[in-house]
Amino acid sequence: MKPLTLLAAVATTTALLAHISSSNGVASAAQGPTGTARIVVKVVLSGPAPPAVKVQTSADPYCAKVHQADPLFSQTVQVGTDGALIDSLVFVKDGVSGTYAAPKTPVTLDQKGCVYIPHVIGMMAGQPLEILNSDPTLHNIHPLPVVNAGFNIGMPVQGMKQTRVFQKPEPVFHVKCDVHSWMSAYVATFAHPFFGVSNKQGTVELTNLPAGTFQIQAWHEKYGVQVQSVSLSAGETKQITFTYKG
Amino acid sequence: MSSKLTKRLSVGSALCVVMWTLPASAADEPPSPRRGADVYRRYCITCHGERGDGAGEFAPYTTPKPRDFRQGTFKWRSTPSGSLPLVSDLERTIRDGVYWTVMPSFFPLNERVRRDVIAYIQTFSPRWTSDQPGMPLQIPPEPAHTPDSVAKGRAVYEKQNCAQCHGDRGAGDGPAAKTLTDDWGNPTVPFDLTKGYMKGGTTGADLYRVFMTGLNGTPMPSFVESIAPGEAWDLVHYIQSLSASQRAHSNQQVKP
Repeated sequence: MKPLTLLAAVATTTALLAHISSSNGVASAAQGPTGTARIVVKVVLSGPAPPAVKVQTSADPYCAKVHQADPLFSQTVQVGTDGALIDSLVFVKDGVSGTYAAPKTPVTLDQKGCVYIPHVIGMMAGQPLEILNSDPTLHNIHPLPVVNAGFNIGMPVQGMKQTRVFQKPEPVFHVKCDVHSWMSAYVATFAHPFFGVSNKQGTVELTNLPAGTFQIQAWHEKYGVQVQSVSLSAGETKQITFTYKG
Repeated sequence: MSSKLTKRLSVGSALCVVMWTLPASAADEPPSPRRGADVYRRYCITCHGERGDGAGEFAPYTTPKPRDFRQGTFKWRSTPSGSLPLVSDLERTIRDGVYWTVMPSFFPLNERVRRDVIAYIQTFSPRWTSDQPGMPLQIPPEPAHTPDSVAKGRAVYEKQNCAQCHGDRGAGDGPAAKTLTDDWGNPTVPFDLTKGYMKGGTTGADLYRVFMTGLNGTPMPSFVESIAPGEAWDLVHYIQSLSASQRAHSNQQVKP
């Protein structure tokens, strides 16, 4: 009996040690598959762009002063040249599996000139979000996630910073400032690094993709969601276009 | 002496022990959502609704709206912004009610009944099984309520920009006051701090807790990141100075 017990104990210890070392290994090499394939995505709005909507900022004398000479326009629909649709979130919806480690470098959300910069954020779940107030007025940062825990923090002092983490992947949710009802940002958190927000040219590059078939989704605040399926072989580059009708 | 008698005695004393300990164990038993459901149907359902969605029969006639329990979002908490409240926070709200609203005080229900109904309310949101309430706020002892503290509190009020919503004199008429909505999209107004009786409780600590942890689901944020504990008590004293009844509470006659 005795030797058996000893053996069992040794086995358990070994298993435990193996478990510890493997879980340590997971932290450093927690990478799902990657590769060198990429998708260049263009997001466009067909037809004429809607007229820019001027935002009334008189609720706060500071904001009104900042935008006296340089009026503020709604960020909901921003169109660049040739119908390039700015601030559209593009991401791999389906087709990647495995665990990807969240980067330690924070994403910054600035409250500057009574506007959120940037307007749309894609980030990995577990990645820090650094929230900055560059204005000498009170902003309250009030995200409204459903899966993650929300919060509502007053940031009354210029230069104030705080770092928050959304731990779970979640589709796009709204961030508001109650003091300035026009301030609006959108955040989505992902379990993988294959996402991006369209720039002034309306483009997003999804890089470092492994070979495979992916469901690519585009999201826009006003025009909603579109999905396309893309198959890539190793190292291949493909171009796709999402066209929204204005 | 027969062993029979000894047996009888021991059985008797054992029974005594059982009967003597019974009430104590009944008081210690965990709150029961099943019993709580009966309490809920008797006292809560007309406003908070059968499904806990805050859409009971009387809900259309109330401002603010009854709490929707399905998101686990609660205003009156000692825990950080966005966090679930402690059971003791919910118990305080049920026991004391929320002044200026339809929510009455259920002081006559005893603590066990209140805890039962809380256990039932917790069944409406999955957050109660997946999340833990955060660490409660530590409130330091109240320093002396002096005119100097009130003056310092005014400086805190200005620095934190409370006036943006609550107005320069605290009357709830700040420049942003008319644009506010709660998390459900219902219009809401900042509290008029000159009204005297505070919604979250009458003591200085109740007021301290409100602006340090914020009111979940409303525009009122937590200022725990920008107000130091000493400053917080000054702000409490200043806000108390804004209304006659609060001044009476603090037993100080300070010019607002």
